[in-house]
Amino acid sequence: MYSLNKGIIENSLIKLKSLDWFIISLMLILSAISLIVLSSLDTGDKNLVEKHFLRIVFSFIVFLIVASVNIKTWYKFSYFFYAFVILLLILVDFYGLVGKGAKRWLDIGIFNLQPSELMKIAVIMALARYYQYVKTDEIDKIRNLVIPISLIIIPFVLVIKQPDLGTALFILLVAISILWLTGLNLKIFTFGTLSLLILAPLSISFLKPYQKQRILTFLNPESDPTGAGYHVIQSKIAIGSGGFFGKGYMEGSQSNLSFLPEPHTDFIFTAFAEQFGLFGSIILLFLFLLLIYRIDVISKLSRSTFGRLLCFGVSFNFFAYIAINIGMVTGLLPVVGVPIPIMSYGGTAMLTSMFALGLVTSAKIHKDQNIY
Amino acid sequence: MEYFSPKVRKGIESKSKTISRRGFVLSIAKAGFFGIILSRLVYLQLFKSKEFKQLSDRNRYREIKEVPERGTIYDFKQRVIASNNQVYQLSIFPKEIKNLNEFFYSLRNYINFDVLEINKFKKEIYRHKKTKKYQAYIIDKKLSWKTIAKINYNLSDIPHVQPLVSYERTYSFPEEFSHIIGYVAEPNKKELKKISQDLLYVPNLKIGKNGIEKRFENKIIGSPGKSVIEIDAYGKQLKQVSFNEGIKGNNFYSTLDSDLQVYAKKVLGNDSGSVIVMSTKGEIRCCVSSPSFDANLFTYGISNFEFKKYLKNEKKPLSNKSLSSLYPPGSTLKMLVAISALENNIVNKNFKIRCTESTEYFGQKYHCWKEKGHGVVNMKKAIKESCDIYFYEVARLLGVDRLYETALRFGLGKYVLENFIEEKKGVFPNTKWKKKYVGQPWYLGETIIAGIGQGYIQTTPIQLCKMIAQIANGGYQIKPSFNSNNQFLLGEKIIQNDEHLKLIQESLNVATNEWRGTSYRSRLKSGLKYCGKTGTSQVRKITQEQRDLNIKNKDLPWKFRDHSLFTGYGPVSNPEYAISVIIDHGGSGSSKAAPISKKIMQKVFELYYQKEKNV
Repeated sequence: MYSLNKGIIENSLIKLKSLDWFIISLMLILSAISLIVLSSLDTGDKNLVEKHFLRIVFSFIVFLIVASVNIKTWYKFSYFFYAFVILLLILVDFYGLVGKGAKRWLDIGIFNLQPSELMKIAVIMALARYYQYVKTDEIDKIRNLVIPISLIIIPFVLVIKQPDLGTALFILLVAISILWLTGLNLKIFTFGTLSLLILAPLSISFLKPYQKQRILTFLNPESDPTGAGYHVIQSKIAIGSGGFFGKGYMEGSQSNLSFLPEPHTDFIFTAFAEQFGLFGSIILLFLFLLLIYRIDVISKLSRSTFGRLLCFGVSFNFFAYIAINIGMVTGLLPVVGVPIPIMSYGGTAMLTSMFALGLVTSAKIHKDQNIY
Repeated sequence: MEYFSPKVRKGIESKSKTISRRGFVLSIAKAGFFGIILSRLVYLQLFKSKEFKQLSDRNRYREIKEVPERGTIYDFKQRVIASNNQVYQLSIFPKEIKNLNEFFYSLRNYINFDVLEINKFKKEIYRHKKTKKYQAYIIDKKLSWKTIAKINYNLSDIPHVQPLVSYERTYSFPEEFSHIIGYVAEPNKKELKKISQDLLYVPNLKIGKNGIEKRFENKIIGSPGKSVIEIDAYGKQLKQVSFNEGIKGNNFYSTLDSDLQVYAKKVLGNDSGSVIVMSTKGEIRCCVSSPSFDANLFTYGISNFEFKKYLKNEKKPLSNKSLSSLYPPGSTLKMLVAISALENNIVNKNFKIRCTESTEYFGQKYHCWKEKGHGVVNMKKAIKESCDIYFYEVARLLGVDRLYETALRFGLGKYVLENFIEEKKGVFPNTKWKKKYVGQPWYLGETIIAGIGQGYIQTTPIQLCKMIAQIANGGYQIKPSFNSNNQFLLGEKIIQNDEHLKLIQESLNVATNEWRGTSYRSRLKSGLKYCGKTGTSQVRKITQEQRDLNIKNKDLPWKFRDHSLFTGYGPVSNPEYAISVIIDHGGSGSSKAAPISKKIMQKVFELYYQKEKNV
């Protein structure tokens, strides 16, 4: 008994030592920054800071648990998790909460869960698991494409039905990045891109009017300055007026006087950039870049294909979040409702990010684990 | 390695290599995209930052300019002619308002609007939004102090509004002074381009459109108050950031006398014409044009109906006849012809001529106004009885170019005032002028009729008044003005020989105060005396046929009747005030203009010489 206990403690200590402190410290710094920005936006009646703090704590515990579980277990658990999220997506269709003209959320008591957010990770896990055993020279064969394409199409269709074009495209993008990493023949990508281009005009006719409007206003936001283009115009004004050193903490007139809509969720980067300027934005970008770089490093340490693909997938996932969010708030991309990881106020996004980082850390702790 | 598996499946090694290789390509793509984001941030936050800062301030701050109080205009006894009323109004900020219906609905808790009014304002606001998006719009409704206080108290609950105190120009004598004081109204596009920077975007700004209001605009207008208020996205006021009180424009102390002005207007009655009285140093005491209009109507936008009524009136109430109507001076030019001839030594005072009814030059007949002629006339008699034949001959001897030189020195054909937009220059012709503007050589016949102030000569009433004032003051040039801050000093002497001056002054005296003088019937019988010269200027050519039929002036349609003129000064013994009266189509000078002058000169003596009646 004693020796067994001792073994468990020793084992735990080893695990604690091999936790990735680099990622953890970045995570904590970013969380702190997000709390600082949120407190500058908090008008007192919403308790944004407290709620966000609780979510950070909760997600951090989830992170630790996920990190301590063997990567092999996660490997075995992948399909099940994927199936579970698919089930949630179907449930959303029936029991989902309606907001902003779409059914996206499930009420699970503590907070409203957005299964499409979880799917961003689930699809990475499922694909990584599938490619664990596909041999390099057999990857391009049609029979080896059927399952991964199904794995992508099912959630894509479910999410687009909500309707949530942004998230659906996001899932597609992340999934394609995995296919790319596996070494899929370039010809298949070319073929895929071409067929998408042909399908695109067709699919536009299936878009909801508000989605069409968003694309139109993206192309020319000034065409409708009080309506759909308002977000982007105000966001650009906020970021631009920040200048090099920013307007100062709590001095962001655009975000503090409500000219900027939703400054605590999708537009939190704007609120940050207005207050801390280009100087702050560069530091923040650098922190995110470090995080992505670190995940890439861990990916290369990983012995198993599953671990590698999973980490690369998560790193790309993070990149996509940041790139699309900042691209969107600076007017480079249309407003598609993609949050910025860790910083944006939102339960599921926070949970998904921490869960994903947990998986990466697990892959690091068990980097030498082979998966049979 | 303890986890090392001996059974490495084929392809695993190469697989991880593939992943790393492709991962590297992906990293390059990521770095590329981060580069794009970074440059976008640099673009927005460094290069465009100034522009966006402006936009952000425009979101955040509401800048309100307040109409400055215009300077008060006084007459020379410091009585108010033009002042300002305080009005309470509400300015609203159209760029902040998303739903006008809701806005007016909520505003109805404080102000009583009827549906028609709301529709009118809504229409105007839509128009306002197109052109002046960032400016406040003033609701054109005068509010009570109580309403304003109520709104002020609840200001944090009423978005998009700002109460303001504004000033409305009012005129104490809206009809009497309307031409010379002018009126104020909203600036048009052309005027907005010229307006000074700080007056730009002042809501409801009214600027001087003509008269003294326009001429001295820069001094009178003042500078606007400005406050900056911080608001949030819902248009609610948070705090006042800065406040500069407006500065009232400088008061304008005019030389005008409201007693005299009001009296002159009354005397003119329904006649179309003008009266000008100035001191012989150039202080303009009275400058009336008749008929007149109500200047107060223009302050807040005259109705189309009223405006058209003014425009259609054949007596032209909107034009300032004193400064802008042009008349041939007629016989009032005769003393100038005499001065020119005497000064140029063409004739001396004993030059005599025999006046029969008419005379002939180059086969053309020239008539005297008196049917049987004046008999033998010398210069004094010629002026006194206004003999035309005498001045035909003098003009012939003098020549138009010499007459022109003299007229120019007396200010004919030149602006009397500085920068008065409505003033006209008139014409005093000479041979060169005719060649240039008419394109024909000068005919001697034209010189002859120039001797009695007909032909191409066009003068304004104020020019004639200045001319006679310069004869009255001893032959010195003056600079007439409405601004009592000017120094009214006598200028260059333009009648060199005092004997000539004496002769002319004496001739004018007998023209009024001696039997057979043209204005003898209009003389002042007791007390101070005045004197002057009548004039009757034709607006049509009298044909021989008409002369034979002996058509009377009053039988003609109004438009073809002669203008009636009188220029004079008083008191005779020590001339201090000059007068010119012109009645459009009023008939002969002695029948219409002279009696009016008599009344006004009497008033002048009453007003300024009360204590020393026996001078």
